[in-house]
Amino acid sequence: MNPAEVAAQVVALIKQQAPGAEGRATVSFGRNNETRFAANEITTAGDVEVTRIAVTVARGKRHATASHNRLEPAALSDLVKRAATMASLAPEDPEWMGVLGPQALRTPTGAFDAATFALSSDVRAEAAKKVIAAADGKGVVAAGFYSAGGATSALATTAGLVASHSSSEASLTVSARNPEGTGSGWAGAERVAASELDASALAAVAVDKAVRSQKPGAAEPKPWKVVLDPACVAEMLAFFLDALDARRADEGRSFFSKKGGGTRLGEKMFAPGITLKGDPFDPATPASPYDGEGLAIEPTTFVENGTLRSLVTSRFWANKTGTQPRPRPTAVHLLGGEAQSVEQLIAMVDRGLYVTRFWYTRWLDPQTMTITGLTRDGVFLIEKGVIKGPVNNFRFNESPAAVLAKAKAWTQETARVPARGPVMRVPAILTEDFHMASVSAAV
Amino acid sequence: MLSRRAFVIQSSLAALGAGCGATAARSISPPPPGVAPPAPEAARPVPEATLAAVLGRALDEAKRAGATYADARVHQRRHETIRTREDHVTDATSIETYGLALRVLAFGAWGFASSPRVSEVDAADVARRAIAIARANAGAQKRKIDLAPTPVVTEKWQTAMSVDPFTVALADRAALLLALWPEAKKVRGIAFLDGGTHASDEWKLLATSEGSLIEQRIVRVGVDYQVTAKNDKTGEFVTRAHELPPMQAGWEYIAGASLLADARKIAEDAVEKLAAAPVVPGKKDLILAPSNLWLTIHESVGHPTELDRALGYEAGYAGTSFATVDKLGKLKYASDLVSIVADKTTPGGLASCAYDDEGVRTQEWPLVQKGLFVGYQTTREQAGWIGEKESRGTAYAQDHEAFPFQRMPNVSLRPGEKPLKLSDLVSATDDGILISGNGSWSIDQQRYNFQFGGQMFYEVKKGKVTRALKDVAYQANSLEFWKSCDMVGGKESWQLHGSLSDGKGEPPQSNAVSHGCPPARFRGVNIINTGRRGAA
Repeated sequence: MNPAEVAAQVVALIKQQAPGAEGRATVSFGRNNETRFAANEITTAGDVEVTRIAVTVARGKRHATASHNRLEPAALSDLVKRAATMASLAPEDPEWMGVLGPQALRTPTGAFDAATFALSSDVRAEAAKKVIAAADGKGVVAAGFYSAGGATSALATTAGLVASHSSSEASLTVSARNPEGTGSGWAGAERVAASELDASALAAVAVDKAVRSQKPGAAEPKPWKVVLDPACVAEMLAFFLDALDARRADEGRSFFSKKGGGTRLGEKMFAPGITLKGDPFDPATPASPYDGEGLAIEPTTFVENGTLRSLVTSRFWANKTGTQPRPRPTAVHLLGGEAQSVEQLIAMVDRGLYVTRFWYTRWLDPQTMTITGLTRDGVFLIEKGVIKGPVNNFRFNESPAAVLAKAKAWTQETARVPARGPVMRVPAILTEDFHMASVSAAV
Repeated sequence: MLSRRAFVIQSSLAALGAGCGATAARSISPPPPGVAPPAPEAARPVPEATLAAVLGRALDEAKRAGATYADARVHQRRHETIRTREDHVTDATSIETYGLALRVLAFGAWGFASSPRVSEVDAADVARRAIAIARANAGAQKRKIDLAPTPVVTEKWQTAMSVDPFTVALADRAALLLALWPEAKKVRGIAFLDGGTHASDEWKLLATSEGSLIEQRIVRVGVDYQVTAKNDKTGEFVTRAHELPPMQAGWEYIAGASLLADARKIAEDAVEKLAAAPVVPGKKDLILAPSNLWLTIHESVGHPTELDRALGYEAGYAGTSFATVDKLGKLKYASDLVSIVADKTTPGGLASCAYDDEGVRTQEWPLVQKGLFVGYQTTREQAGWIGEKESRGTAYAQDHEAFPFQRMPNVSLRPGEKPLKLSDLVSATDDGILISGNGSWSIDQQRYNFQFGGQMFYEVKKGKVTRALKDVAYQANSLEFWKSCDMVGGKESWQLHGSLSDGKGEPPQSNAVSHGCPPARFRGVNIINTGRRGAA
């Protein structure tokens, strides 16, 4: 059976075992095939088969969700029973909107590559060996992770919604350090197809940065002009997306809340030219065309030329406020700008920093959308448009919204970065007044 | 890879949540018969008699194909959560995973595979896949893998508890949270309350090719809630989360906690914080309540003393450590008042159990003794790396889909010899700040530079708490911070806190871990104002 057939079977079981109730089944068959390396050797690897079946049952305003990973008919029947029993015991939820009926769903192209789904441990090991050889060749030590796999998932409801989606993903990240521990570099990429990952190219960037970042000079903590590599931009964007919620804005507990009530929709808040889209059908960011409830995801412009245009809105909140529901995006694209390259951004800086990557980012103050975090794996001082040399790492306390508001230029090309949250494509950005708060002795 | 992406979304923005509370006494050695109720029969998908055959088949197939060592594990995870907003439930969720994991050491390299299906046929398939990986990786293996010896045992162990949380009716668990809002909203300025209850059950049967067979069941419970206070005129808002730590225990721990009694105070705290004066940055003496200090121990002592980090095996992700192997027994880590121990035996500790996931009996050992760095966390593979003969027993895999590797045990600050209480630390302080609860937290990849917030911040002047403050965080270098410790609370003031989710590794795995500590004082720590991006 495939996931769609299992989902249909579970919906039939809901109708049979809980007559009069409504319900939803979500089924996913996936593979996570992974190889990890460190200290210039392969350390661990695994071929993992991932099955998930989730059942939501609702009776009136009482609802509950149960999931497990067993496909035997008796196990599916037990799961429906568990969800139905939990729902009958749950207190009423006035926010329950019912399960969705049929949705007009399109299929994104290019989201799935069969070879990547089934990528063998030999291919992964070969890629790891290339990286290790490149590191050995320059006398540095590599560590990294090659992950390939994907999932086919299906969703069905008692109200007649049927949806399915297949995706694959391959990512390779490479860290390189000199044996003395005075220099460190990093590179990483994520693609739908493993064949598009270039292990040698990634290794070259990480190894080069490790070599060039050795024995960093001292730079002081203060507000700096910075060129942020795409990995930094994607890390900050995850917090921006978390905050991009209509309900919290309306409730007055968000950066996007307007003083005195309401939201900041329609406000010009960011640099002219900053545009953030969420489009699972864009060949640059193929992703699931529906959310966890099965709600169709339409291409959405969240920020248009610096103006806040849309906020994520749940079905309940849309109904309450008389607006349209807007699902959380499964893919986002911060559109590219005019700069031809990162080098061109660097050339625009009289005195500033070029930053490879961020680490341990956490919320600091949601009111101002401020987060904290650290730089890692290569910070370089820029003087008169050229890189002068490596400098120490920093802790920063800064707002992703301020980074987008004070952006001066960004690259035309956007990169898909291995990042938390949805599929993300972002440019490298030149921004100013970026608050480096303290020095970190870490390399 | 939807499942992993979903995991990342859930965990990355807020992993490590927690919160003062009493610690319940619980037995860690095999509990006396009849104290802990047996798991409900229906909860185990495959009868145990069949499992022995499945595990045996996986190990036999692995050995036949060339494995010199293998461990097979049937692992079941169950997690039930209820989420509430103010006066209603928004989610009731049960998540379960079950399956077979096999780790093999063959051709000098590791291989791993898992399956959600648990049968002899699947066991053979899993063995074939795990061996194929070891073969593919063997060419890149430079170092010889030697496992420190461990005794062969057959044992059963489980959390001692009086009320299995999975037997408590959903409506009763929800009622506990829903009772909080009527209390909280009596306080003017309180706008929201977000709450959740957690019950988790980890059951595993481990068989090693050396002949050990170990069955364990670990039950953990937690409740979290936070209130939001709002000033509609200024648009300002703040949150205040309560500080009840999650615990390895049955529901009796939650039922016996003072959640409802504290609700009014938590709400009043939020309103007080909203109107509080922003902190003036600078160097101050810092008094940390156990509800705040535990997380600082976790980040600045727990992670740096993981041996795999110190030797570069986590360099690609979690990072390395300033506590390198050449410093063992030499590095002055903290002031003489500070002794920190690791253990997987503390009653109620989230990481406590009888055996780790490669069959090593758990223990307690020192990491920092009277300020000196003296110990690392190790597994069987790692013990020999620092010339030790036995593993400290810290191997852990979060579920059947995960490879076991070195994970943090409970790491705790020993109480001081003097019977000091939090109030004694305050009385002795001329100009300082008292912090309780956890707010924002972040530390660099070698564990030098950290910055921590909190829930409540109070100004201390001339030995008295004078007023609440807001927008406070402390930022320090781990070693300078621990060397500045000049007062440590006594035994009576020691509390066990912890987190249900600490991330490490690639693919990322989640580990539950506790940290015990008394309150302590640190001199001249850098305080920043987070409302102004940490600017002075």
